Amino acid sequence: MEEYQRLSLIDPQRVANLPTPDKLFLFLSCTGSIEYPGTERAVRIVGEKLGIEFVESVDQTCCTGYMLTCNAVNPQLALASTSRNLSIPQEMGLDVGVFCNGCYGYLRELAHLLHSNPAFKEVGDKANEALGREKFRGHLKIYHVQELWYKQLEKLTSLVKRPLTGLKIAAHYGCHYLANKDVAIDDAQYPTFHEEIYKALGATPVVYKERRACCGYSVGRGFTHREETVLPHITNKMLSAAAAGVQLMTTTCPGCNTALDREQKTITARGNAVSIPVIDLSQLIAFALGAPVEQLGFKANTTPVLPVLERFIK
Amino acid sequence: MKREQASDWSLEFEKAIATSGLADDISRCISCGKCTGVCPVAAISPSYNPRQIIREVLLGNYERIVQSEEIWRCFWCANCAATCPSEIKYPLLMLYIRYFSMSHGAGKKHVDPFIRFVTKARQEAVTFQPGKPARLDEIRALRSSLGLSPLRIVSDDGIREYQKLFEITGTDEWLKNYQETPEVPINLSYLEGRILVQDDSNSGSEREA
Ligand code: SF4
Ligand code: SF4
Repeated sequence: MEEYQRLSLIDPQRVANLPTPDKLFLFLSCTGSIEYPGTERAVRIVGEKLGIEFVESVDQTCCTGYMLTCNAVNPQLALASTSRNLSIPQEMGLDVGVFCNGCYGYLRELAHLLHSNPAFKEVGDKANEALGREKFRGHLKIYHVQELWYKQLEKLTSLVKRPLTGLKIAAHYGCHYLANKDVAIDDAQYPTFHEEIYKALGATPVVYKERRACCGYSVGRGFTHREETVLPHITNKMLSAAAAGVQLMTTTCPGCNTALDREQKTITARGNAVSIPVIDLSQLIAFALGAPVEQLGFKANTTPVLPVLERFIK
Repeated sequence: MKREQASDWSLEFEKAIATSGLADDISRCISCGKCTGVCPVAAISPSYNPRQIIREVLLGNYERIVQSEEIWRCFWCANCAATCPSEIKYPLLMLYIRYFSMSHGAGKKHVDPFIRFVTKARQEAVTFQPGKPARLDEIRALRSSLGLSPLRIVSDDGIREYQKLFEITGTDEWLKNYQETPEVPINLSYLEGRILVQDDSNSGSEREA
């Protein structure tokens, strides 16, 4: 691991350019709200410790990215709903914090298309006009909370109440943050900033063979190609983590979390016993910062989480 | 099953992609194969080859794309785009060619499973909200214990506006068309990464061209 981290490709300039905001609009994730509500709670807890207030809006809808990328709606709907959703924080004068790699990637890509293509901009503007909303001007910033946590790593370190000594943690970065080459703070093939966060929390980062393998779920291939590609792919990934002695895995996307946590049941039933709890990075940080464990919603997980965290709760 | 025809190509294909505004200038592809090297689907399913797919697109072999099972395999992980030296946004190209295939009536079996999510999202402005009462109770109990609203609810205004977007962007119309278009069975046997032709002497069996 040490050797691995000597090759850090984290971009110091981009990290330096990140803000330490005191207020952000929290963009809610449908998968997060439904599958792992503890993630949203954890984001607020970590935010509170770092002095970031998150405000949400009941007017915010689904980002529409999943339906778009499954080709189940036309692109105009996703463009218009991005334009509408982002007009909400714009009216509040706030930048946006996102905790789902999916929402993050779709919002950024669609905002970029709205901004760069006049025909698409017209779709967005017409929609907002018809709804009586202001035009989306495209100047607000969209952050994934994982980068904001990393930005304040020193402060996080000083706030640790439950050092995770000896806990072997492995990262699943997910794809739709790192693929944003123009803004991501780390290298897409060789990221290490999650491992640095684990170390700050007192844990032991573990590198495993299929560390950069995706979750396989992003455009619904878990429905259309589950047997053919998705299950063999996740099986490889989780078995390689087990072989490396991983005790806990973190994600930064409720969609990835669903794939990697829930599919372990099937993988085990088919003869490859594997039991590695998978939680969100924000849940891990909130736990290390001393948040009451009942507040983190681990009941939602298929692969039990408490057995590996219990020894840190006093 | 029909053979691929020598006339089954068109340079208009690339132009159509460019005017769609979805995929940037794909002619920048240098066929380096980095996309295929980092692709998780290519690692599992060796007939899946993103370098080959973009080459077919650039050569105008649209029939091969329309009739392809391969294009539906992509996980959309964007690892190719993160690596591509020519800054090609491969997933957006994939999105486009899937729409293109659908416009010829192909690929419906790979889209049908998601229509129920769309129908539900149109009602609630949230995707994936389950329908089963027992599962909903479970979610309500957990969310309430975390101090969150029992279910993720979008305001009535929000839902009304979301539904209006379905109307004004032509999505309702698009969905209606989609549902009314019959599935065109794949009749060029470009199924598994290479062109297969019917062996006339023994109908039913296939050999590589
Ligand atoms: S990585 Fe980019 S340039 Fe290289 S073959 Fe793939 S699409 Fe073409
Ligand atoms: S986005 Fe598709 S083609 Fe690109 S690496 Fe992922 S699975 Fe392969």
